Amino acid sequence: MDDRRWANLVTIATLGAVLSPVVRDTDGFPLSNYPMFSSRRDSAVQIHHVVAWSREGAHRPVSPELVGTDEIMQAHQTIKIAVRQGRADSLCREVAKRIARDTRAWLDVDALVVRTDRYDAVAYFQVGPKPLRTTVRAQCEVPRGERP
Amino acid sequence: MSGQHGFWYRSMPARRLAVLRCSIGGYALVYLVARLPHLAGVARFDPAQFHPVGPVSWLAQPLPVAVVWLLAVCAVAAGVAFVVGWRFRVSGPLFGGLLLWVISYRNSWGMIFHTENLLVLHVIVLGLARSADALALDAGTDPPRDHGRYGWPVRLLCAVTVATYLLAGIAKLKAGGIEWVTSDTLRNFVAYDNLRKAELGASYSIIGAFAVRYDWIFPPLAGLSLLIELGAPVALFGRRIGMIWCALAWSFHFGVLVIMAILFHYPLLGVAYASFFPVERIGDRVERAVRRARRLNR
Repeated sequence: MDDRRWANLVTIATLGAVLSPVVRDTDGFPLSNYPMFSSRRDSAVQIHHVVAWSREGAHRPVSPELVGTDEIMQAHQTIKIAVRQGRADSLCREVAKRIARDTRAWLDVDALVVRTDRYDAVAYFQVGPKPLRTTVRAQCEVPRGERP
Repeated sequence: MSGQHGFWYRSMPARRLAVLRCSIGGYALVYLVARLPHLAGVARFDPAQFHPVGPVSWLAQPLPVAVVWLLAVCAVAAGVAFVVGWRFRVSGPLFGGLLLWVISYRNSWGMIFHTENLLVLHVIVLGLARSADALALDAGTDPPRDHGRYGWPVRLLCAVTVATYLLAGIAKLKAGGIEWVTSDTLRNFVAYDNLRKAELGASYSIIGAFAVRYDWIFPPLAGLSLLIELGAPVALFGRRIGMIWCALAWSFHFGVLVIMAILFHYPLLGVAYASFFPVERIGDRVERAVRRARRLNR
C-alpha cells in the first residue's frame, strides 16, 4: 500500500474510532465519551469506605493500599463492588489481615467497619464532616493474636 | 488530502515525527515501568470485580497471574525497541498493541482511568506511521527529505488530542446542558471528589475544600473549561492558535490539580501537546550541544 492510501486509511479509522463514542454514548478504553464530571450532580453523595477503630474509640479511614490498591478511585470502586455483591464481610477480613501484618501505623486498631455514608458534600467542608446517614455493611476484628 | 502540501498530507521533517516517537514512546515506557507493580498487580484482585473493557472484552474471566506479568514485561521490551527505533515495522505496532492491552486490562476492574486514553491513542498512531526513519537504530545515515508521510501522523496526533477534549465538552452539554456552567454542578463535583479522598484516607486539595465554600467561584471556571473543550478544534487551524490552545488546556489541567488533586500527568508534563510544536528543534539543539562538547574535549 502506498504512503498516501495508508495515511487515509489510518486517519479515517483512527478518527472514526475516537469520535464513535459520542454516537454510541459509551464509556470504555481507550475509546471513551469522557463522561467524568459531566452528569448533573447535587451535593448529596454516598461514600463506601472502610473505617478503622482504635482501642481508645477513635476512628480513621483505612488507606487505599490496605484495600489492595494504591489508587484512591480503584479503592472506592473495590469497596463499592464488594458492598453491592454482598462481599463486605470478606473484604473486611482481608483488610483486617493486612492491618494485622502492619507493625507500625495501625498498631492501635482493633476493629474495622465497612460503611456506606451519605453526606452533603458542600456542608462537609462548610460545616463539618458529619454524615447524614450511616449504613454499616460489615464489622470485623483485627486478628492480632495474643497480646503480651 | 490532496496535494503534497495539502492540509493533512503536509510535508514535515522526519525528525519531528522521530522526536515525537522518542518523547511520547519514552514517556509511555517510563510510565509502564514505574506503574508495572500496579498494572500487573490487578491480577491479585477478586475475579468477581472483573469487568473487561476495550480489547480485553473478549475475555470471559481474568488471565492467570503469570500471563498478566508476561504481557506487561513484553510491553516493556517492545517499548524499548519502539523508543530506540529498532525493527520499527514490527516494534511500532507491537508496542501500541501491548500497551493498549496492558492498560485496558488494568482498567478492567470496575474503574476506567481516563488519564491514560490519550497516551495509548498517541502511541498507536506513532506505531502505525514511519516514525523511525530518523533518530533510530535502523535509520539510514542520510536524513530523509521532508515529506507528507511524516506530516500526516503529526496532524493525526493533534486531531486525536483535540477530539478527546471535544468529546468531554460534548458529554457535559449532553448530560447537563448549559446548566453545567450556570448551576452548582462543578462545585458539587469538586466537593464530592475531595470528600471521597478525605474519607478514603488519601490526601485531598485543601484549596478545593476551601473554594467550595464560595459558590460564585465555580460558574466562571465551568464556563472556561467548557470553552477550552468545545473550542479545541480551532487548535488545528494554525500553529500559533494551536500553541495558545495548548497553553489554555494545560492551565485547565493545572486548575484540576490545584482544586481536585487529580494529576493528569501526560498533559501536565506537556508531552500530550508536543505534536503542536516544532519539536525537532530540540533534537537539533541536543545534537549541536553534543558536537560542541566533543570539540571542547579534543
